[in-house]
Amino acid sequence: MTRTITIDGVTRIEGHAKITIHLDESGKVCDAQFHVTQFRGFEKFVEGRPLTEMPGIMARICGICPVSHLMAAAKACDDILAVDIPPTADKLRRIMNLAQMVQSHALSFFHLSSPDLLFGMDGDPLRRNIFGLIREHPDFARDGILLRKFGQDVIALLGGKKIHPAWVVPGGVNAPLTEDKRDAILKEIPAAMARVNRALDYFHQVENRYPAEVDAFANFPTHFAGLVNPEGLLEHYDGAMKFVDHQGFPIAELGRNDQRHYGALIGEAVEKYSYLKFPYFKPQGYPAGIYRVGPLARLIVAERCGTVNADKELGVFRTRLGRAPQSSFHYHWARLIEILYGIEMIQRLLQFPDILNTHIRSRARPNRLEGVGISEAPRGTLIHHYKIDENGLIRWANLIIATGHNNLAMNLGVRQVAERFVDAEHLSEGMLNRVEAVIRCFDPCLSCSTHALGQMPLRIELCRADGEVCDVLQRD
Amino acid sequence: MYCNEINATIPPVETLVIGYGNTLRADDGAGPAVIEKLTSILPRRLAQKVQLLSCGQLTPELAVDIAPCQRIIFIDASMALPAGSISINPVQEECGAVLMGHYSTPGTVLAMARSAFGAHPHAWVAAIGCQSVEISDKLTPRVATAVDRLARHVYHAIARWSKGQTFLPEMLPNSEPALKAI
Repeated sequence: MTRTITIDGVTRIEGHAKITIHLDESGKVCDAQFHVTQFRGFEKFVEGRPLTEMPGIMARICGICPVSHLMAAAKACDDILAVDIPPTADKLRRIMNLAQMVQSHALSFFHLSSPDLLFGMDGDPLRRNIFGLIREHPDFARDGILLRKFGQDVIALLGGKKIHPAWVVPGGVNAPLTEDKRDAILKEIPAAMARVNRALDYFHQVENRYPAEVDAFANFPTHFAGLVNPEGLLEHYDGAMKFVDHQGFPIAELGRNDQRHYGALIGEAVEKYSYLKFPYFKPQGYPAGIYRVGPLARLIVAERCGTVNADKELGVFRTRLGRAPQSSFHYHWARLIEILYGIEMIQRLLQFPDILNTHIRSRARPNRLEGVGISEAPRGTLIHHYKIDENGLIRWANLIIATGHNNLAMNLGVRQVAERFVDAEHLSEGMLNRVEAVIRCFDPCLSCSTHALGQMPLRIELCRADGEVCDVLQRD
Repeated sequence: MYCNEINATIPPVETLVIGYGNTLRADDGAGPAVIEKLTSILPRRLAQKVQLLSCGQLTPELAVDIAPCQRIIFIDASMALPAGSISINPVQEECGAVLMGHYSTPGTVLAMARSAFGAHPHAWVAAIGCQSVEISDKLTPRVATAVDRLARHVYHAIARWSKGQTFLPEMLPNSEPALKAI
């Protein structure tokens, strides 16, 4: 008798999804799929809208990480205007993008994943949550809340509000940074640094408790992709998109000025069971061209970070795990290193003498009918591609979202962890939590990736060979 | 240590009003609309004692803003209430087995503020019944009227609290006094 276990939907991620695990007649896992079950279709309904509205509209894809879409949309518009934005605007956009990464990584690590790490994958679910964390590790929990607030406050100071700031515009930004706001951010840097350093100390204590999870959480060879700057260093805003193989050797690069040709390297496949597209490395075809993006991929692709403390921590990371660790469990550590980097880099950018300059926007009419913007969202590389008509109205749009790049890897990861941990005869909560936890390593944002909205409950179905559901586990 | 740290960095205010909802989904934007209205009507002497926040949804770090306050009013839209009606109730903390993700409720944020930062504010959630949550940046007329009414009521509560008077905001009168009379 073959059976299917369905986890519908997966918890502690953003958006709606379910997982099905198919069992063969001997009760062993024979297949697993990660289904994204929501749909919104931003690419379609922006058709006919003026180009200048795109950053504002695209930021609405997600109420949690609007800044990333704001950046990619504005860069695609810059490309259509054919302008180089003023250097001060470039730095200000970078600061906001890094602040977004800090707040997003803080939420992912502290609120969503650390309960598993600190209480164990088999820990009591009544305890294994944010309130359990506050009760038993209060300083750690408060650090997470305050780190996220740091990132949100930087966004609000720059953009006027935390959610959907309209400050990033085609050609630059629409208001300069004032001295008092700069000083307000700089004042918070030491405390933010102390918080992430304490989190790293915590992480070092618990990370080696999970050898089985390290071994089975999407631990297989894939390519990796991410932006790098001209020196090959970690980059989140603007640079070449670099692909490396599973050993970290470069295999392809999309230069900063070649980004409109991303289609030569990235194909997009569709599967019937999910609304989330399956991007793949085109030279290898589908599905062999599997690659990963996001914090772990960025640290593998980059030669180094380029800031003192993040590079020091990256050295520890590489000494322990090698140059290109394959287990997606290590996304957690990579996320903390990127928080450290983000805080250091925000400080560096704020100390540039021209950061208060008032020349912050280049103005032009559309000079091209097509533009591409690529930046790094917290979860990975984000691509916005627009085509306009002669009147400046959008006639076609394509978005490739970080969570989409990781879709193939998430599906294989679910299968791997199910094969290792799921015993169909004795289903346990901890077993199923591991299946979800491998997804949480990637911190998928399904609102972005399908451009839909929602939160994620959990449902698991166990089906016989004939497809009949014989058991269900549901969380709301 | 943390409460002192927070109190040192955030200017203490007596009352925090948080209006949340999606301003592109018609009446779901009622919460932010109340904040906008309050911003326009609060005189400076009261504004110094109040923090007004508008957001798309409640997020965990709001616990930090809540921590130093004496009173919190959450303002939300509700599909469960008749269109244009207003309901005000004390917030019940929610914790325990809550699986908190990217989305929070007044109860979870309040519980987080208490458990992480030792905060014990009085808290209420005021909800306005929606007529439409279709794609629009305009409120329906009945909800727009309710927004105006709730803003005046919250204004009245803030004014009374600022004079040291007891006022239970859940006691919503049929009509609010004119602003100049407050």
